[in-house]
Amino acid sequence: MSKKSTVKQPKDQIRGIGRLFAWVSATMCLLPLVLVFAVSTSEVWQRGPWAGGFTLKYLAQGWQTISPYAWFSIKLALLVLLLNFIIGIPTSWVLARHRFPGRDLLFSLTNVPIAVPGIAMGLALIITYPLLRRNGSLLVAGHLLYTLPYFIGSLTPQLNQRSVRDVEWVAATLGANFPKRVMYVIFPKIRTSLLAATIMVVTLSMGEFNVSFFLFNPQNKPLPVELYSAYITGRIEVAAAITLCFLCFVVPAAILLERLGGAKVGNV
Amino acid sequence: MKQETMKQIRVGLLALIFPVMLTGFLFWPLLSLGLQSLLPEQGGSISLSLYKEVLMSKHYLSSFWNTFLLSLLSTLIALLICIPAGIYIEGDEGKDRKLLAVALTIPLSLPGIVIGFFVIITFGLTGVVPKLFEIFTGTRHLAFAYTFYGMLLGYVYFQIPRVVLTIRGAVSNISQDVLDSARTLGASTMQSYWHVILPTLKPSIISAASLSMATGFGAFGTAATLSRGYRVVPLEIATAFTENFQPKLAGAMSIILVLITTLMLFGVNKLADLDKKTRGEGSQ
Amino acid sequence: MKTSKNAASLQFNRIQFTYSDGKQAAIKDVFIDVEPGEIVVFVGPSGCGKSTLLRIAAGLLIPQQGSLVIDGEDALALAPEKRRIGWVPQSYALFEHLNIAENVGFGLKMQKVPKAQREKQVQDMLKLCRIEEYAKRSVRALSGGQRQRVAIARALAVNPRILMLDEPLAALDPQLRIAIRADLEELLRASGVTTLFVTHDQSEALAVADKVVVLRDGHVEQIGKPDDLWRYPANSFVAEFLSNAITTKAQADSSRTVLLGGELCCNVNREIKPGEKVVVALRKENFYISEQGIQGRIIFSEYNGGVYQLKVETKSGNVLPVSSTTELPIGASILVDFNSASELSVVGV
Repeated sequence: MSKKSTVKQPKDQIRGIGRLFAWVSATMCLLPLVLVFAVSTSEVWQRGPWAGGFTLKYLAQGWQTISPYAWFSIKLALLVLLLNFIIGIPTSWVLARHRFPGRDLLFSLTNVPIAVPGIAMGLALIITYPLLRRNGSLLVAGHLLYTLPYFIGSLTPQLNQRSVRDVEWVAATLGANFPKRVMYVIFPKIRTSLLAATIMVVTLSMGEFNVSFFLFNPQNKPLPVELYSAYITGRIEVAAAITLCFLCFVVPAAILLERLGGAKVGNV
Repeated sequence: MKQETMKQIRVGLLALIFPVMLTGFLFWPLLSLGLQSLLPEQGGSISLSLYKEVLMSKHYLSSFWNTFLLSLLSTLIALLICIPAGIYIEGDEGKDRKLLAVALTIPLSLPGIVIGFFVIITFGLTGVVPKLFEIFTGTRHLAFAYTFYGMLLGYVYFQIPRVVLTIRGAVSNISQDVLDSARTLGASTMQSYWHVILPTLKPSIISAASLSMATGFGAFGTAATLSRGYRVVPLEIATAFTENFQPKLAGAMSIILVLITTLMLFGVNKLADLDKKTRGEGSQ
Repeated sequence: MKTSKNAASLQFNRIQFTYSDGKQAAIKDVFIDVEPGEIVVFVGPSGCGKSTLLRIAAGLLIPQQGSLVIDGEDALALAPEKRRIGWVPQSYALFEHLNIAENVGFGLKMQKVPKAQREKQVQDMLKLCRIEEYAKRSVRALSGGQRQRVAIARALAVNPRILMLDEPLAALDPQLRIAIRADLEELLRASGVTTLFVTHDQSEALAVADKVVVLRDGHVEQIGKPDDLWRYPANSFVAEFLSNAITTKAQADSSRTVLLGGELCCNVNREIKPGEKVVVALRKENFYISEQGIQGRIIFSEYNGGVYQLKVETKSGNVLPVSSTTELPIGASILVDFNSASELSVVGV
C-alpha cells in the first residue's frame, strides 16, 4: 500500500470510471462553446472551420439583429426578478419561520410549477386570458411561474438556518426591532444567497423558451425566441453569432452562480 | 391574546400570496384548458372525443412513445454517467474536481434550443465531426443530428447538469465514518459501493430520475430545433396550435402531458416513501 | 482477567504522523505496548492525538514513520478490511438503510459467512448486548444508548482480535453515562477482547482501564495502571489532568516530607533530598479543616452533592484544595491540616 498520510479511500475503480465520465461529459459540455465561436467567425462554415477566413462580420450582424430582443429580455428578467422578490421573499419567510396548518401543503405547492411543462403553461395562459397577450403580461406570468420555485427553494433553507435564526433572536433581545433586524442582521447573513438566487432567476428568465414560445408577440419578443427563428431560417454562421452573444450573457453568470454556492435543481 | 391572533392573521395573509398567484396563473388556466378540451373543435356538447382522437390515433400514440423513449433513455444514460462522475467530484482526491464541477454546471442555464444548435454544429450535415471525417476519409460519417440519436444526445446533454448536481448533493451527505466503519467490518471497495453507498444514494437517484423523466417529457426547445420528422408530444402540441389552428386538440394533449409529468414527479416519490415504510426504515 | 482466544497484542512502535494539511505533527514518536485482553484507555485533552492513534491502529490512516505490530505481524501492510479489528467511531456510524439485525450482521455478510450461521451469530450478539427486541427496528427509532449498543454489537459480531472505541460514551446524556459505562465494562470483560478505548474524561479512564495512556500534543506523558498514575504521576500535567490536582512548589523538610507554605509538614510519596525545592501535587484528600494547621482564606467554593469543594489560599500564596460538609463563606479564614494517612505526589524538582 502506498505510504500516503491520509488514506480515505483506496484505489477505487468506480472513482476512476467517474473521473473518466466526468471528463468526457465536461468536454461534451464545453466543446460546443468553442465550436460556436469557430462557426460564428468563419467566413464560410460549409467548407470547414475558418476555411474561408476569420471574420467578425457575422458577430456584428448578429449583435445588430438581436440587440432589441436582448434588451427586452433583460427588462423582462428584471421585472420577473422584482416580482420574485415581492412574492418569493414573504413566502420563503413564512415557510422558514412559522409553523401553521397547511405549511407542508404550501411547500408542496411551491414545487408544483416544476411538474408542468412550459408549453402546457403557455397554452393554458393564452387560452384563458387571450386579451392579455397583447401587453406581454402573460409572458411575465409564465416566467414568474417558471422561476419562483427555484427562488423560494433556494431561499427558504437559508432563512431556516439555525445560525440565521439564533443571530436574529440575539439581536431582538438586544433591543432591535424587526426592520432593524432585517437590515442589520438578516440581510448581511443571507446576502450571498440572495445574490445567487438573483443570478439564478435572471439566467432562468433570459434562457426561457418553452413558455415564451406561445406567449410572445412582435412587440414583446424575448431573446430565445429570436434565437429560435435564426436557427430555423438563418445562415448557420449568423445563428452561431447570435448564439455567441447569448452565451456571453449566460455563461459568466452561470460560473458566478456556481462560485456563490451553486444552483438549486428543484427538489420535490 | 390579541397579538397572537394578529400574528396568525399576518402569517395567514403572507402564506396566501403564493397560492393565490398559483391559482390565477396556473390552476385556473389549466382547469379552463381542460374544460375547453372537453368541447370538441366544431362545437357541441361535452365529450371526450378529442381525447379519443389523441389516444386512438397511431400518429399521436407514436409521438407519446417517442417522447417516452427519449426521456427514459436520456435519463438512464445520464444516471449511468453522473453517478460515478458525481461520486468522483465529491470525493477527496483529485485536483481537477473543482474544474469539472463548474464545467458541468454551465449547461444548466442553456435553453433547449441552444443545445439543439450545439448538436447541429457538432453532428449536423455541416457539423465539425462529419467535416473532420470528410477531411480524413473522404466521406461524411456521424452526421446524425437530425435523427433519433441526435435528439437523444441533445436530451442527455440537457439532463447531465441537473442529475450531477443532485447526485453530488447526496454523496456529500454520506458520512466518512460510515464508510470507514464498513471497511473495518471487512467490506472491500466494491462491497462498500454495493452495500453502503448505492443503497444510501437510492432515494436521491430515484428523485433525480423522476425529475429527469418529467423534464424530458416536457422538453420542447431541443425537439423544435432538432426534429425533422421525428415527433414528440410537445412538438405536436405546438403544431396543433400554431399551424393547424386546433387549440382544443392542443389543449387535450397538454392536459395528458401534464398528467403524465405530474404523475411521474409526485408518484415516483410517493412510491419511494412507501417502499421505505414497508422496509421498516421509518419515516423522515 | 479473562482473555478471549482471539485477543491480540498490539504495539505502536515509534509512530509518527502528520496530517497532509497540518503543519504540526499529530503524533510524535509514540511507543505503546498492549497485552492481549487488556483494556487500554487513551486519555488526554482535545487535540492530543488519541483519536488519530485509533485510526492508525484501524488502518484508516497510515503513519509516515514507525511500525504497528498486531500479534507479531506488521499490520501497516494490511488494509483495514483485512486487519480483523472492530472500530466504533464517536458518531456510531450505523447504516441507516439497514435495520438493527442487518447492521449487526453486516461484517459477517461482507466476509461471506453462510446465512444460517450468520443469523445465529447475530442472535447471540444481540442477546449479549441486550438489544434482541430491537432486531427488526430501524436505526432512526433508537436512543443514544441503544445506538451505542448496536454499534458495539456490530463490531463484536465479527469476532475482532482488537476492539477500538472512540469516545463511546461522549454522545450520551451525563446521567446515563455511568450506568452505561458499567454495562460496557461488563461486556468488554465478558468477551475478553483486547480493547483500545479513547476518552477525554479522566474519571472514565480511571474507572474502566487496565492500563491508562495519558497523551498530550501527540506525546505519551505516562503509561501505567490507574492507581499508579494517580499516586505516582510522572509530571504536573498528568497530576492535574488525571486527578484534578493543584501543583505547587515546596521545600523538602526531610527525606520524606516537605514544608508547605513554610509551615505545614506533609508526607510525600518518594525519597527526596532535604532542602531540595520540589513540585508537589495537592489533592483534596490530602487536607481537611481542623483547629490546627496552616491558616488560609477561602477563595472558591462549589457545591458537589453533599460536600463543598473549597480552594483555600495561604499567606504564602499556596492554594490548597479542601472539602467541607458545611457551607462556608468566601473570604472566611480557616485552618487547614494535612491528612497524614495520605501522601503528596512529587511531580518534579
